[in-house]
Amino acid sequence: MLTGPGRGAGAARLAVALLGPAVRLAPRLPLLAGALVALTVAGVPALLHSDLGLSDAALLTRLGAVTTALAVGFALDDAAARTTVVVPVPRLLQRTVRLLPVLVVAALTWTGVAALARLAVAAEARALYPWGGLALEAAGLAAVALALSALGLRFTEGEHGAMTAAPGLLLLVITAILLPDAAALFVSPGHPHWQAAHQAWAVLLVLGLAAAVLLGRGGPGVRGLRVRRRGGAR
Amino acid sequence: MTAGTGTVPRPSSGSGSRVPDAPGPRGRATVVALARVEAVRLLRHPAVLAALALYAGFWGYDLATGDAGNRFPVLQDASWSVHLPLLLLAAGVLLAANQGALRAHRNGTEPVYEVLVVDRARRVGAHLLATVPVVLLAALLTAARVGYLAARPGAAGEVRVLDVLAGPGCVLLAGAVGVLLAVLATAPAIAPLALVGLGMLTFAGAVNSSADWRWFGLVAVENENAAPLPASLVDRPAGAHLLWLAALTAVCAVAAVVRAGARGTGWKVAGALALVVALVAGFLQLSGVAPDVAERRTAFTERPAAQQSCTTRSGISYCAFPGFEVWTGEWADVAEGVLRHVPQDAAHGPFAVRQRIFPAGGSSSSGVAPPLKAWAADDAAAGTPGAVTVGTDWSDGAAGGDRRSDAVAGFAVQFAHRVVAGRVPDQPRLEMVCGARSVLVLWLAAEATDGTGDAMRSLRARSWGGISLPLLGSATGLSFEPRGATAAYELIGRPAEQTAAKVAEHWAELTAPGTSVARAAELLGIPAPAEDGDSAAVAGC
Repeated sequence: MLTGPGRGAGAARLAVALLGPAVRLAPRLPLLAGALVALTVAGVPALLHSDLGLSDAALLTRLGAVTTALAVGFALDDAAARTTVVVPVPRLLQRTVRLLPVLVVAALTWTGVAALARLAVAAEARALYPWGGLALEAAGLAAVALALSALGLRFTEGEHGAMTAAPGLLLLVITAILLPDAAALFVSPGHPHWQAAHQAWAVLLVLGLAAAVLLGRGGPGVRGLRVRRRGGAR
Repeated sequence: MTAGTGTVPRPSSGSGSRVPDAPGPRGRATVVALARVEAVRLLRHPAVLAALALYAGFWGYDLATGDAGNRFPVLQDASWSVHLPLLLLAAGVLLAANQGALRAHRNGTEPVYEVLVVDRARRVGAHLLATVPVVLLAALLTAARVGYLAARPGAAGEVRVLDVLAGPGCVLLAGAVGVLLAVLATAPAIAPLALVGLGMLTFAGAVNSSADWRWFGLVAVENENAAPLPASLVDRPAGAHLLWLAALTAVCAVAAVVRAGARGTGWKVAGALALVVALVAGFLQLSGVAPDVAERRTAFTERPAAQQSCTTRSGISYCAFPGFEVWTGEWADVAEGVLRHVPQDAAHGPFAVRQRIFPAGGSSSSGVAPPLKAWAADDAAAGTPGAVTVGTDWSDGAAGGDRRSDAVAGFAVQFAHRVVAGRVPDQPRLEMVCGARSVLVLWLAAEATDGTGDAMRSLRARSWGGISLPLLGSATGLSFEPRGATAAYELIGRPAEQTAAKVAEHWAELTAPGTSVARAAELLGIPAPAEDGDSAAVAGC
């Protein structure tokens, strides 16, 4: 474990050293397949100059948010978690570094999807495209996926967070789609409930991030190791 | 022990050391035993439990809030719409079945299983069979939901069993897809991505609710803007869709088992048969509306009197299509509520209320003219001239959502207009109601019952300027002068009895066509709405 005055610099050096392997270990299939689906679905109307309404453009952007959040849910999976539990690098640092390249690709993908969706909107309505609100939704979904993934890691000795994140995220998205109007989270741009819905998204973002940090700091792997050590001493 | 360590010797095929399959009844028994274990694991999988909890959450929310939105369900529509929350369970089952079938791969125990009596194809078969109990649970939940809706005192129409069965069919298909994906690819991301694809297909079908291809999806959603039709006019190919879902399930199941190593002519025949049935059922779904149903729809639309039964309450006739008679009491409460504030000698009776449908109304955003002349002739022949139209939607005020809330407001306003003006709209366009009449009609409608008050307030919250109420989504209907609407909503918040006394006192002047909004405000003791020449000119008053 890193201690003492050089802790910050040491952690930074470690993070840089871990970044290369983290890029190689990024979950390529969900990232690439999700990006392909979302960019294709948003790109076709843009190419065809479909002059979509803002609601349809928001729908395409939300599809991008779901696929990128799904990929984020796979970011913390670590098949070697049981072996790396003994290395003197904090779990949170390991996982943060694993997450970084995934977040960068996810953000770029979502931005591309959003730009294409905006391009598909009729020219006179393009200025009304709600970048901020839709970005908040995407960030909220990613935070929820991260929190669910961190929860899943707790039950799988740090290995399979996506087993919880993917079903959890998709079930929550379906639930959000089916919510009654009064409690809707996915509302059309300009809807009277837009502001209220995005306050709820902001709360989800904060709660998701807090839960991800709290749950992602350690895990049963470390506790399990201690138990095994004690058992070995006996 | 992992798959990569090679600590478990793999049996070599063809050397005589391969563990023989367990044929016949013994093999089936082992598959059933394994399926039983997997079924319990599937039912206890967090994705299934979470889906069940969320499904129950929707129902619980309805019950906790009094479920006013479902007080007047139309059962032929509820028979398919109950599937929408069931898609949660289908999603949970797809992901859980996939994770269950991938468990051996994930834990690195697949090579260990090679020494077992039950080969991979049978293990996959067991995973497929394991989805049956959760499908039965889905059927139970659907039956409970439909039974609950059917038992509501305001339920109209009839349950369509084949439509109801399609929901559990979706869950069965989802389970088979989950297992098939596990056999085809071991990457855990495949099933969630496939679910996103299925979700996109379902959503695309929901927003293209008039397209035939939507029947190739899991649930064929109907146009949410269209009012329900009487049961005998509904022509959903529910049987073909159920067969389509079953055949697709069979195709997925056979593909999974064959891909897992099953050999034999029987599997090939079963696969080919399932594929043929899927193709046939798929195209049967696209057959469109049957000619006899189309003829019946025309008859019900243009000549409703011959299809209806009528009852009389307090001297007013109420005529309803088969299955909707249970709503006549609700219509009577509104009609009598309107007449409560009308001087007895002033109302232009006798009155009649007739239920009508106009299928083209919900499918066009620009408004299509209804067959007004045919309706007038039908009413005259039935002895109910000037019958006020009521649709096939109803709700407990504003609780049923926009369309059903507007149905309540629309009927109350139509009836109040009939009382005040002595006639029903007879032009293929929105008829402007101006001056004091606009104030009086809106006030009478809103004060008829608590429900009409809620519905009128909901309508106001979603309106700009004046109030417009198209008849059954058609081009005809009533539109109200903006200043009149402003004055009416000013009155609606005030004690009804005081206003009713002033209305009775000045009835003749308030119902005269030439009386202005300003004069009506003076007579009723409210501030006159600000002059707005532009909006009045636009309104045509």
